[in-house]
Amino acid sequence: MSDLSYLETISNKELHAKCLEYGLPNIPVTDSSRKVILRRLQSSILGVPSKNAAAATKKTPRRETIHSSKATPAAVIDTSVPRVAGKSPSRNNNNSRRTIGVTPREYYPLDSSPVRTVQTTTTVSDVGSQSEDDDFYQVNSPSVKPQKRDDTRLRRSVSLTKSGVLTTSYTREVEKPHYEEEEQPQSYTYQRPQVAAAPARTLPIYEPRIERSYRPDLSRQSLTQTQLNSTSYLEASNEYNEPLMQQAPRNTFSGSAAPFNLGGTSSSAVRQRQTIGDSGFARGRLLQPTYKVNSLYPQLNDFYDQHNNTVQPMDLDTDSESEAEIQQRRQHQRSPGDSTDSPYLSHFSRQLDTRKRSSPLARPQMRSTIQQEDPNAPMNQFRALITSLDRQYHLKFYFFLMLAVVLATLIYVIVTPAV
Amino acid sequence: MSGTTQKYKNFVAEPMGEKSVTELAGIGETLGGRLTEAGFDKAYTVLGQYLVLKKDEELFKDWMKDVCHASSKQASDCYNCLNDWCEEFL
Repeated sequence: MSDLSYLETISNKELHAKCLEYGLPNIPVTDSSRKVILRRLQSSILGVPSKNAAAATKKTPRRETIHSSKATPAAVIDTSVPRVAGKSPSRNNNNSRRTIGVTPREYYPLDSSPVRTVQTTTTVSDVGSQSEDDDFYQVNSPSVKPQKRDDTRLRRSVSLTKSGVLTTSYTREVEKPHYEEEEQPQSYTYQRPQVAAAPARTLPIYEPRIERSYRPDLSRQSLTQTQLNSTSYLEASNEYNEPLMQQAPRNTFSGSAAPFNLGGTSSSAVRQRQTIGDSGFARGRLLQPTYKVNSLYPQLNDFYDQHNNTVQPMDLDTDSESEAEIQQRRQHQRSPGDSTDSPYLSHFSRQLDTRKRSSPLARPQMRSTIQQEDPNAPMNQFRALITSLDRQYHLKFYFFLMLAVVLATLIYVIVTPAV
Repeated sequence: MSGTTQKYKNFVAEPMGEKSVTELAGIGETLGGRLTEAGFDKAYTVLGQYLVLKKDEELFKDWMKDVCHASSKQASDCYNCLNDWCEEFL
């Protein structure tokens, strides 16, 4: 204590030298700042342990200083000591961000336990917490990195609180989607070879394979109709041109997995090609998504046979192609009596059909095929649009209201002359 | 934050010029009178002390407590006021 009394008598220059000697910041000693610097020097000489909590946040030292100010003046020296040792490194930085960044370095050697608790306490963070992660992530990067080495996929956001406790939020990067994405293409590619192996060359071989390949597709793809369309498209593309097969199916499957629009467009495009092309088998494959209704097939088949007698070998194959007939049945329902393209027809019969199409009687057939696809979509869209408008604007209500008004006026007009 | 007070905003919004020491946040008439008696009648004199102490928060707060018997809140308000003013204008 004799040193402390000695310091009060020394001059400002000597006091400044003492400050530098004990490692205090090089602050000029003036008459106004003498007392303050003297206190810090005394605290550094006494070696009072620093309060990390006081250095950590600005709010905690305020409370401590309140207690110190209210205490006896002798105790003021003791309270000021931890401030000096604790905050001297951190306060040199003007920016508050830097102080936050510096304090963890002081903490973690002392506070290794909270770091461990962070690993044990797995608090799954919401998506919104990730936005906060970036703010804290830079600050605590040096101390947190060793933790990340343990779990590579886990993002941890460490946030310092007032008490120094670390709160971590584990956000596992999307693992489930990866599995889903991986499973779907694998299943598709695995099924594909079966379909690709099925050529359209020989009909009896071809049809059972269609059924086999199609059923697993239903089991897996029954979730969405768009996927069904995509699969049907691929199968059809196999028949048309085999060299394009290998490229096209991959694209379509990837497209079917990600966007739903591609499947619908692809299916429509393929159907148009089928109407143009000669291969009726492809149409049967395309129509497989509507495969469920098979009961009407023999009727249609007989109906076709009446028009075309050459189809007999094809009739054996028609069991699997009943889906194609469903569309054709629809065609016949719309335009009965008109012979349209059937998957059962051989090339010769199709040539006959094309010849017939050249005749004026065949033209309505083409229109009917076009009308099958086109009117459905626009009408559905139109209906959907009307329904949506009804929901929003209550068009029906206004429509009926207008009708009621018109009827009322009519009645009024009719009645008034009578009166 | 103490910087959200209107007094703080007014001081940090513009150069201090010849403003009185009572213009500083956390310093009222009482503390202003004590600072004036100690020779710190203008805000820039307190700023000078703040700069002499090299912007050290603890030293400045201790100085405030020593000179004008300011409370820790008043000292921190004044420190924040001067610190933010320096970040803005210095």
